[in-house]
Order: sequence, then C-alpha cells, then structure tokens
Amino acid sequence: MRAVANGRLNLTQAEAVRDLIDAQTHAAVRQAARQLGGELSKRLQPIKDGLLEIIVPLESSLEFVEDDLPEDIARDIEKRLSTLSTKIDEMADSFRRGRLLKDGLRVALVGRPNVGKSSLFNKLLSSDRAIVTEIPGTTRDTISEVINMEGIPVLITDTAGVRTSPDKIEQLGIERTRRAIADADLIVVVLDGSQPLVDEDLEIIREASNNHCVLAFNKSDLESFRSSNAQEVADNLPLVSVSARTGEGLDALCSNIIKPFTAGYLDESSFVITNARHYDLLRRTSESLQAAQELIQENVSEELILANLYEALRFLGEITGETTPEDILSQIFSTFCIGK
Amino acid sequence: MRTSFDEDFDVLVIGAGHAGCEAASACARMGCQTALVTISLDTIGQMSCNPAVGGIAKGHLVREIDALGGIMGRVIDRTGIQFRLLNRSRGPAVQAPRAQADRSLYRTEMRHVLEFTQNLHLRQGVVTDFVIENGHITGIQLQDTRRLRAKAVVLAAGTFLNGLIHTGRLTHTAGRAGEPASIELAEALKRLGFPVGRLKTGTPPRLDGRTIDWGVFESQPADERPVPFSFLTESIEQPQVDCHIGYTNESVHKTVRDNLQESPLYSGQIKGVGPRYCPSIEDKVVKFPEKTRHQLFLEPEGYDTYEVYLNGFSTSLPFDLQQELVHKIPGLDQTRIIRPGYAIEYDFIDPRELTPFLQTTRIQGLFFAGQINGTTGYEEAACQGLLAGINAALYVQEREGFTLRREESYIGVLIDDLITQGVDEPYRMFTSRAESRLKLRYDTSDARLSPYGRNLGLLEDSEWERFSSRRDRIAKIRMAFLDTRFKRSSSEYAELSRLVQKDLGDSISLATVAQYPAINPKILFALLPSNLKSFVTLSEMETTVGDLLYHGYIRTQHQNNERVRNQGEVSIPANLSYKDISGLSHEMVERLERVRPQNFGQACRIPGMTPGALSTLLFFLKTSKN
Repeated sequence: MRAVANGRLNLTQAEAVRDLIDAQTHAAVRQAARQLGGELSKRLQPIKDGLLEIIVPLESSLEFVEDDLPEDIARDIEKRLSTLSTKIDEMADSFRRGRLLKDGLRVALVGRPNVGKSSLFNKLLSSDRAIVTEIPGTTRDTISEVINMEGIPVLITDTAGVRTSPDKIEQLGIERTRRAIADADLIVVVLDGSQPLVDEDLEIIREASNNHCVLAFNKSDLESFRSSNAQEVADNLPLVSVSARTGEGLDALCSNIIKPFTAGYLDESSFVITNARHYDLLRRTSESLQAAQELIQENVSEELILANLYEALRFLGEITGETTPEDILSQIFSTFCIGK
Repeated sequence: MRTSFDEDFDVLVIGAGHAGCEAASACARMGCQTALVTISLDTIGQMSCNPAVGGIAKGHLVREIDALGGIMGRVIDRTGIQFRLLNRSRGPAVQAPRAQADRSLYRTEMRHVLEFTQNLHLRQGVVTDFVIENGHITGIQLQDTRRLRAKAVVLAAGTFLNGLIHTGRLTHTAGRAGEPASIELAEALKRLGFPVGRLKTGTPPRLDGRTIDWGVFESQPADERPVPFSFLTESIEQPQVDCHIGYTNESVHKTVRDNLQESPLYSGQIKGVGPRYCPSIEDKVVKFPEKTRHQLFLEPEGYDTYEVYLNGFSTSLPFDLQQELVHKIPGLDQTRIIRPGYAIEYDFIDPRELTPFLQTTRIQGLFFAGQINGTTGYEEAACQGLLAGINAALYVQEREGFTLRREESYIGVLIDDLITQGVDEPYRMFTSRAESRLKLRYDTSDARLSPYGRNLGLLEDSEWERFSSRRDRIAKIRMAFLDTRFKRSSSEYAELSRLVQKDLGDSISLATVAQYPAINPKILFALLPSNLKSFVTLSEMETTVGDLLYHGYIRTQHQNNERVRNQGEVSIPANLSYKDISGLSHEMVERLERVRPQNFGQACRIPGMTPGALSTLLFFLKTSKN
C-alpha cells in the first residue's frame, strides 16, 4: 500500500513541522521529529491495511455478485473490526501523554509562610532548567515560569507572594492550597525540615494529597534538619530532601515531579499522539468502526456496513493520506479474479 | 477539393453504436436536424461483445439514461430475454437490473426506434475527415466524396479508430469482427493534434449450441418478477430463457499456460492496456494460478439462433487452441466454435481534452462520446452519447450546456472522472466510484433526473405524467408510513415485534418498522391503510422503504461530502509555481503543471497524485494563505 514516499511530506508530517517550531523542550522536539519521520502514518498503516482487508471482500461481494468469489469472504469481520478499534483507541489514549509533552505540566509550590517556597522557586529558576522568559502569573499574587524538567516543559507557580494578615494565616494557607490544587497537575508541598511539622502543614498535605503531590523537605543544609519526621504523616507520598540554599536534592525533586506522568512511557522509543486533530480523527475512526460492528450484529446489508467503514477510512486518510476508489478497486482486482 | 456540401444538418453523429444512437436520438428529439452516419446501417445498436445490458452500476447507468429520456432502457425492455435484478437480497442501493438481450432483436428494435424519430436521418458512409473553419467544425468528409454540413458533430467511433484485431499471431485491421476499421478518421484526429492512446479489449468465442451438453451445466433462470429498465415499461412481455453456468478446469489452465507464447497478450504483440475487471482467460490463469477453476456463463444470443456466448472465456489465442481449450471444458467436449474470440486494440483520445459538456477544447462544436473517451461497456457509452447529444443540441441552439453532478448521478461521476482523471485502462463504472452510492439508487433515478429530462424536452407529456404520478404515490406511501402507528396493545405490534425479535417501545410507526431487515415490502403492504392498497405498486413500496432506510446515512454522507468539498474548494493560484513547493517530486510537479487545477478538489482527482503529494500541496495552500 501507500508508504510515505521519500522526500515528500504528508499532512501529518507537515503538522509535525509546526509542532517542531512550537516545541519548547528537547523531548518535545524529539517527539515532533519522530512524527516528522512519518511515524504516525507508519504506525497507522497496518490499521489502515487491516481496514482495507475488510472493505475489499465486502465491496467485492456487493459489486461483483456474479463472480465466483470465495464463500467465506466476509468471515470474522466483526472480530477483526473490534481488534482494529482497540488498536486505534490505544493510539488515541496516548494523546494525554502527548499533550503533556507539548503543553507541559502545571506544578504549584504550596506551603505555609517561611518554609522556603520562594527560595526554592528561585533556585529552580537559577539553575540551567529555566528556558523561557517570565510569563505573567495567573493571578497577581503568583509568579509562573516554564522550567525544563527532563525534557518536559513545566509551568511552575510560586504562591509565595500572597500577603495574609497573621490572624488569618491558617485559613488562607488552606484556601491557597485548594486553589492551587484545582489548577495544577501536581503540587509540591514545601515543608521546613528543620522544624517539627505543625497542624497547618498536615492540613496542607491532606488537601494536596487529593492530587499528585510531592513533599519537599527544605533546609536539608541545616543541622536541625530531620526528614524522617515526615513518615508519620504521609507514608505513601513521595518525599524529597532539598536545600533551596545549596541546591541539594533539586534533581531528585524534579524527577519526582514528572514521575507520575511519565512512568513507563517516556522512554525515547515510545510514541504518542500530540496533535488534537489527530486525536479527534482517531476517535472518530474508532466510533465509525464500532457503528459498523453494531450493524453487523443487526444483520443489515453490506452497503450500510461499508458506509461506516469508508467513513473510518476517510478519517484515517486525513492523517495518512487518502485512499481513492481506484486504490480499493486495484486491491479488489489483485485479490480476486474478477470479471467475465 | 470541393468546398460545397451535399447535405445540411444541425448535428452529425458519427457511429451508430450505443453512444451514437443515444446522441442522435436526443439531438433529433431536441429539435435538431440530425444525421446518424455509420459504416453499416445493418449494425445499428450492435452489441459487439456480450449480448447483455445492465448489472451492478451499469444497470444504474441505464436507469439514469432512461430517467433523462434516453432510449437504451426502452429498447432492452422490448428485446431482453432473461431479466434478473442483481443483489436482490441486499439493500436497494446496490441492487441493479441486468438482462440478456436477443442480439438481433436489439439491433432491429434500436433501428426501428431511430427510424421513427422525427428529425433523425440515417446515412451510410465512411467518414474520413472533418471540415473545420476557424477552429469550428462545419462538417464531415465521406469516403465516397460526399460532404455533409453541420454546426456540431458528435464522434462516437467505438473501437473503430485504427482498430487492430489479434487472434494468436495473426492481426488484421478491423473495427470489430467482420467490419472495417476507421483508419483515415484516426489519422485526421492525430493531425488535429488530439492526444491519442491505445487501449485493448477482447471477446470470447461463440459456440454452436447444438453441440453443447446442457445437462452438465447449472441453469440460471430469469427472475419470476422481471424488473424492467425503463420507468415507462409496464411489464416484460417476452418469454424468458435460462443462462447456464459452468467452469474451466486444471486441464484448460495447463494448456493455456503451455501456450502463453501464442497469446499476443503475453508475446508483447499487444501494446494497448486492457481492463483488469474483464481479464482474458490467459490473464486469469497467469494472475490467479491458485484458482483451480474459473466460472463461465453460457449466454444465449437470441430466440432464433443456436449461437451461444461463452462469457468468462475472453481470449486472443489462435483459433485451433481456442477450439482445443473449449473441448477441455466439461460439457463442451463436442462443442464447435462458430466465431473465434479475439482481442482488439484501438485508439482513444485522452478525455482530459474534453469540457464537462464532452466538447473538445481543440475544435469548437466537436463532441466525443463512448469508447473513444477510454470507457468500456455499452451503458458507459450510451450515457456519454446521451449527454454529448444533449450538449450538441444545446450548442447548436446556443443554449447553456448541461452537466450532472457526482452527488446526483453515476453519469456525473463517470464524466467527472473522465475529464479530470483521464484513463489508464478502459473505464468501467462501479458503484464504489460514487461517493454518494446510497443516494444513487436504481429506483430513484427518475426522482433524481427526470425533471432535467423534462426541461430538456426529452420526456413527452405522457411520460412526464407517468413520472409525476409515481412521485406522488411514493409521497403518499411515505406519509402513510409516517402516520401509521401501532400501539403495544395491537395485534400488529405483537406480530411485528415477533418478526424483528425486539421490543419496539410503546408504539411504533410503519416508517420505523420498514427499516428492519426482517420486514419485507409484502408485510408492509398488508399493513397499509386500505385506501392506498388499491393503487400502490410493490415497486413504489420498495422505493419508499429504501428512502427511509438510507435517510440517516445520506444525511451523514452529505455532511462528509461537504467536509471534503470544503477542502476541495481551497483554490490554487493560477500562477502557482509547483516546483518551488518543497517536498513535491518532479513527477508530481509535472502532473500538476499539465492539469493546472483551479482548486484542491481538482488536484485530488488527477490520476497518479500520491496522498503525500496532495497533503503537501494542501498544507502549502493552507499555510501560505496565512
């Protein structure tokens, strides 16, 4: 069938060029580069071929009713369709990961005052991780920057700028955490490791643990630092000892931040859908295939089943390139001995 | 050279095959003085190949021809000897009528119809040249020195242009077996600069039916209820005969394989491209070596002849081998060949030369129709003849040209494919070529096209009345379907629910019930209000059910077509330099530059354009806009 010809870009590849231009980090660049290599088309090709292997006999049985075609021409179609739609669903599901690479992660630093949020924030920025100039914060009270963490663009937000009156500290701390949780993909709860945890810390941890979160025990450079005092509050939350002053533990913090999002699939070889249009087309393809399966179960005539299969083929074609009636006829004539 | 003319017409139609007959008939009935010029008046409407009309997609075309006011459907209805509706067990969109014809009766009836057409004049003669003044056609030159004048000429030369017949290593020039080729006319076209290509087709041997052991073959009877091609035909009156089905065997295949060097197809003698869907027995054996048998149809040539057409056994092997092969087929071991099969190569003109009205861009007033445009099949030829005839008449009358859209007709698909894509092999219609297959049903061609036929003046008052009353009755049935509901408590509900094996809700309309595969039109008929039963026909019931069945899909399809069209209408600047688009190969650039499409849709229909190239182009067009 149609392979992506040398030296030519298909639409998928052309879109990858745009992603490449937009790419903010190296991993995203690599991902875009991979799509530019026609990998999405390449991966979809077996699915498209599988679909054509169903269309061709069905179409033949309609169009060449007088020819001596094999009797079991349309066997297992339902099963084969369900295998195809499962594969397509799997590819579509990679979109969440793909979006992560493209759009990045939103991470909020929360914690009660004076635990070192701002110092940590600044330390993260002062390292070679910060690659983008300052962008305006979502509220006047917060500051956000994009940082490169192992190839993933991470929008990190410091909530430290909030001014609160002393008698309302506790209440507003919780409030702030809640708001951060709503916006962020992950919360970094910054704690003062040189002091025993207080109730407000525990309250913040409790709130944050509804989302992905990492506990960062700051001030590991101080002698009074005791990271072990966290175990009693959160035995199953990831925790890291860091020093905003020396930079110690920052790498560990970063890898803990991206870990929940990359576990098992951010190795270089894995492939993800990063483009919303591709995702949408794959979903539609899958829906059309499922509709075809339902029609088969209802025992309706082939032309209606085919109408759905052609629709699926058209959606796939918008990613990989069109399959013309001539392509299908060619495949029919090479598969079956047609004609009087 | 003489400059005066012997006779004066509005339109001249060259060739009296299936395209020429439709063209001449349409022109004459649209009020043009029309001459139909043919090499032999005895072979008007000759079926050069198999004696049959219709089939999937082809039957659709005949129905469309009929709905527009063409004559093929009417003639086959009067001369068909075995009618079958194909795909009867499937949905109406893929059903189509097919009929075996009495070859001789068909010819006679066609000539009769033409002779009784006003303004239509038959002329026998060999056309050798065109008369052209200032880029406009003004007449034709005949071999016998006669010159005929006309404002428009429709050329429907079939396989006659430089026709070359092959049987084994023997070749001779011929238009078809027993008739001379048109050599001078072919040269005239080349002189005028038309891009000429070469195609090939073939026929099987015809057998002496008296020497066939009929008992060996499976008989295939006609339908009990023959479905006619023409909306004007009340019922098929002729007695119906059987066809027979048989098979080749390994012994036949081995002999073919052992003698391939004798086949002009495999010796390199034939240069023209043949149709893949009409393979010779040589092709079948070579390309599908794993098949242990190939199906054959024994088709009767008519009532008053014992000649039998061995469909499925097209060959260009030498005659003695043909006879030997036939003898190896079970049931044909004593059978004599009456006429040997042969392959024929002929000139065609690249149809991308043509406007949507089938007029050439090179010579004003010159129209091409049928096999000259690279098609194959009587039906494909006839529909082009009809459209070319209509447009020749409109041209003479200085009226606007007539085209059909892809979404409304197979004819529209055919002509659009031809003029935008050209042909790489003889072009045959398939339902899968149409994007709107579910809409282009054989039983809706009247609803789709008859209003055009009426406007063009091709449907008489009585014919239009017939159309209108069918349309009105279908509308009434549809209303009754929508209005008739059965409650859960009714006995009808219980019966219907049992038939579809499903709970049908609190109440159900006939319109919904009709869409279940388990419910046939007879069941529906019984449930119709009694006032309708008296005048409604089964065919009208079926059409109504089909409308309901596909309604939802057609709506979806319409949306999809809109989507494609949205892309298709992305315009391409006239001065676009394709070679500057990075990623387009030299070959793709060449194709694009030859056609210079005005929009993306046209670019999509250029043959040989790879999806990659098209995407590159589209992406370029879209991004360069911003």
